[in-house]
Amino acid sequence: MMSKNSYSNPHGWFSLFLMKDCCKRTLWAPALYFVALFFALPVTAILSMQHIHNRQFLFEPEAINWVAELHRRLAFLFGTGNGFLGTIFVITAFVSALTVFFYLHKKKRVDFFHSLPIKRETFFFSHYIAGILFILIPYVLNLVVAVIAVFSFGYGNYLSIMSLVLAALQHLLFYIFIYTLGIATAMLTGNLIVHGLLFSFLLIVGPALVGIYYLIVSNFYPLYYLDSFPFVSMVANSSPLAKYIEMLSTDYLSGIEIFIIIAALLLLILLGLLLYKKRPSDCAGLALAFPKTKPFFQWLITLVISIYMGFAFYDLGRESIAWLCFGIICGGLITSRIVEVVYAFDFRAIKKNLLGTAIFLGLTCGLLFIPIYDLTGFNDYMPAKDEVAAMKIQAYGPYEKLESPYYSYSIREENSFIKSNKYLLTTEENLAAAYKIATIAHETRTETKAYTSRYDEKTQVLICYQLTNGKKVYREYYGVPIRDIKSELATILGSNEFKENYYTFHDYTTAANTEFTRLHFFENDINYDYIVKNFNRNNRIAILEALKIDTLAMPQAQWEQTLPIGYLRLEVEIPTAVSESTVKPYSLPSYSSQNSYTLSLPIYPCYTHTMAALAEAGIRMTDAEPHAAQVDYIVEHKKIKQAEISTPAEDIDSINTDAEILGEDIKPDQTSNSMTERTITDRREISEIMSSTYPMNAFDYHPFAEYQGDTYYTVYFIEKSTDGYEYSTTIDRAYPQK
Amino acid sequence: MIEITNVNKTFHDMKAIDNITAQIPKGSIFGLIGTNGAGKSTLLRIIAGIYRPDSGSVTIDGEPVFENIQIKQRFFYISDDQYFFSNITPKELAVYYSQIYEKFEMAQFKKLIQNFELPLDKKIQNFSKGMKKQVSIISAIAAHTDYIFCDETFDGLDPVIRQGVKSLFAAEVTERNLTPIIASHNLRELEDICDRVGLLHKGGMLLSCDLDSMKLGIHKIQCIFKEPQEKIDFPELEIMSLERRGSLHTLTVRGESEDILSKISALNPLFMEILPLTLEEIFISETEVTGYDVKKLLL
Repeated sequence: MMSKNSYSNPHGWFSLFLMKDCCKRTLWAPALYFVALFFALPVTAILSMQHIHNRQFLFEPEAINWVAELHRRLAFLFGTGNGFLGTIFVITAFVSALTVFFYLHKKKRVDFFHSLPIKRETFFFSHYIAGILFILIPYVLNLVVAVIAVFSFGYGNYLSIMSLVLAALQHLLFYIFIYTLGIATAMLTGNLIVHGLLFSFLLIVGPALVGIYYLIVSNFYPLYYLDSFPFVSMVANSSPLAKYIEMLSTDYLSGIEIFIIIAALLLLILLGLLLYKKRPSDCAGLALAFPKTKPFFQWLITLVISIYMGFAFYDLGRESIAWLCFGIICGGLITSRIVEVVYAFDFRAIKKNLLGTAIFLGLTCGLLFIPIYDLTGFNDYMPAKDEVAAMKIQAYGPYEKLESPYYSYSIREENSFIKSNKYLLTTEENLAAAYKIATIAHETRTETKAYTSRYDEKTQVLICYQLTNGKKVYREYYGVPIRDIKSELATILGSNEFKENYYTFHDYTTAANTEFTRLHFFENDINYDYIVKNFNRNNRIAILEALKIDTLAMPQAQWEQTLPIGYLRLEVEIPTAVSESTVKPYSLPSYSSQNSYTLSLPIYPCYTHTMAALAEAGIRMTDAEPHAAQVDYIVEHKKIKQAEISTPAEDIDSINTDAEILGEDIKPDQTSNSMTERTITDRREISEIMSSTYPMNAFDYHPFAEYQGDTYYTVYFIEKSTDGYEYSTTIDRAYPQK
Repeated sequence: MIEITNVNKTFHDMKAIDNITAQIPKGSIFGLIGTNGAGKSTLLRIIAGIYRPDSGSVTIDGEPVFENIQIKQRFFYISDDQYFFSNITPKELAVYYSQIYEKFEMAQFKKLIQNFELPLDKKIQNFSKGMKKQVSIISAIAAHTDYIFCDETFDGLDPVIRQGVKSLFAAEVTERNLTPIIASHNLRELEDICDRVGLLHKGGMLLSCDLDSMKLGIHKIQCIFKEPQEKIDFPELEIMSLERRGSLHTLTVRGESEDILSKISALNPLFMEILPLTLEEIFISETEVTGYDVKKLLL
């Protein structure tokens, strides 16, 4: 009598029976996952919601703004940024990959399974899917319970179920991605230890190789523009683990990235299946299923570890090439011996293939000499003038102020030097100036990177040559004397081409998504914020158009020689299309700072159109003028020069200690940083100071102007309130540097 | 019929199977005998579709075995160290096999388990080695496949059980033309049950033929000569081995018995007697010819 009813006919690509059997035999795995997820989701959800409900917070602001806190906690629990959940998923993916095809590592089990009338594809997919179910069922169950917990506290309406599902799918996607890599690795290996080690290595090898490239270029190519090497995105894109960490930390994954991940995942599945079909059954228990892959993995592992060890010694040896080679050789030797021993499971294999190791390490050191001694001539290369079609140039010192929050004309949605055209120069005059700067930078280039600020005499210059053949060449020069390039920079910064490309406010002259939030004149401290915030649309348009006309019209020489009288602050809302992902399990409040940016727009004395437009909008422009007549007195602060100091600094403390004991007057600490103060009430002197100095704030809004640091003045305006009290306002002023 | 044609298999520079060609007709009990490391288990694994041969082919009724599910449905493989799921009972094992093998007979399985007095609901991992082998054999019988491949299966079975299994095999062969292929060192056991044998040595097949024909083709003759005789004194005979104790000569000779006796008679022995050869003696003689000699092992 045939028992046909129970026969499952496991002939297709998948067998439900085999999958269920695999789950049944490895029940400990989903059970453990369930426990971990139980604490990560429902327990955490209940605790969080209880805190919200009872307003039990560690910090007071959270109690006041509990809605925002609720959003934050829901985002963490159910969003793509839940690091705790991510950690669980990575560990469970690793364990599942080691478990579902464990039988391949044991001869007895291989004999059993592979003698059965079941196709390898059926085995593969049935076990593969079982491994996914290990996490899927516990995750879904715990997620549902956590959602129910949130609803039970009455906060369910703050949840977006669709976003929650999307975030859950993304977590699962990465579980499957990491897990599939582990499966493919299982097909390559013959025992659990090697499987685990190789799987771990493959998870990090991508970022490790990117890191090696970064180490080489940052150490041996001082002119290499490091930002042109998308290090972070390359690290993230070189490993499923790294990509998952990126998603967890940025709380974002784009549609195109998801598509690429799915495509990579499908390829990995195909690879795993192919390897499984090709895999010889007699490799169970051996290190590798395909012995011919041994050299590839051995030398890859050796390469990575030897180079990192080399650079570690390079750093410890204060950039000594000898120590670099020492580190490479030691690291490579130790690693290759360990690989031989692990491969053979026999310590005596430590002597194997020593010649091959020596050759490999020699080659590695030899290849590194290419960047060490710049054998390709990268650092010496500069394109000829007639090869250059356009250029981009950025001098960090002078540009630093241009791009500071005080003077942020330049902030755009895309600020990257590589992607943005705000630095692009194409006119003959600008190209000539830019090429001259490049030539000076190339001639004065240093071998080491030295970061600078705008206060240094030397600066960093970043250059992009866009060649006539379409190629782009990036170079970053250090130690370029600002004095030598100042006139060329001035030519560029004063050109209409630069202004048109660089200044962003021109784009928003008719935009509805802008708002003035501040107007400040440096000569007084009157608050116009309320007025400017209430400008109507016509006022805004008129003022922005006037600013554009005035900025373009202002000659370079005038710009260099005058300081602004005040500034307008403009807030610009980023259009929704370019804002970050909205895949969040809750709706974001509209006040998120990531959805807008602020520009500070200086107003110069020659901005007649702007001042007319402001007057038209109700601003009293006389407030922008200096009011010498209203000054009550000025306090001069003057730095004491070193030569004037009579008592050495170390004696001051002992003198003052004695003075304290004896009850005498304490002498001032007359070090080189101390200042004297003098009160000035003479009207003529006051008038002279007011006419030859500028408000110190004004210098922050000019890209080149700096004030003299040895003397500054605090101007006092005393006013009486209606109830008879006196109050003073002050403005600090200083002389401009010559 | 199982046809093995020019099969080779190498593991890590060691030739495990060396150009083996053999045929195993259906409905016969085939004994695969061989020296240690001869390649019996490897050959069985190749026939069972676990290993893929480096070259050559293995077909069952004309169909290749490797990854052929329809063909694999027709045989059951019992390895020398059979794997069982942890905590599984014979009953659960039967359920598992019934999902895999189309023709698996649950009733027969239960009946045989009962006959062999094995507990149906106890964990197999707690069974003795012999009991585990019994479970494997019963599973194989109940699977109702055309072929059963047994690797050292009889080892570990007590004489009573061994006899029981032999009877079981014999009954299945008679009833449904089952073809068991049994690899073993225990030649005495194989001698009782096998119709055909294949003798493996160092990866190669020394011979593969009907057991009766094998016995007919090789004989042991005891003779007494006045003068001591050497191999060269019997030029017309294919002498596989010659032992002398005093005047008593024991010859193992390949050929027809009448022909051998007549040729020895020509040398006027004082006494001459033909003795039956056991399979073991045939095995030793055949392998001695290739240099696998017990005297070499002892010296």
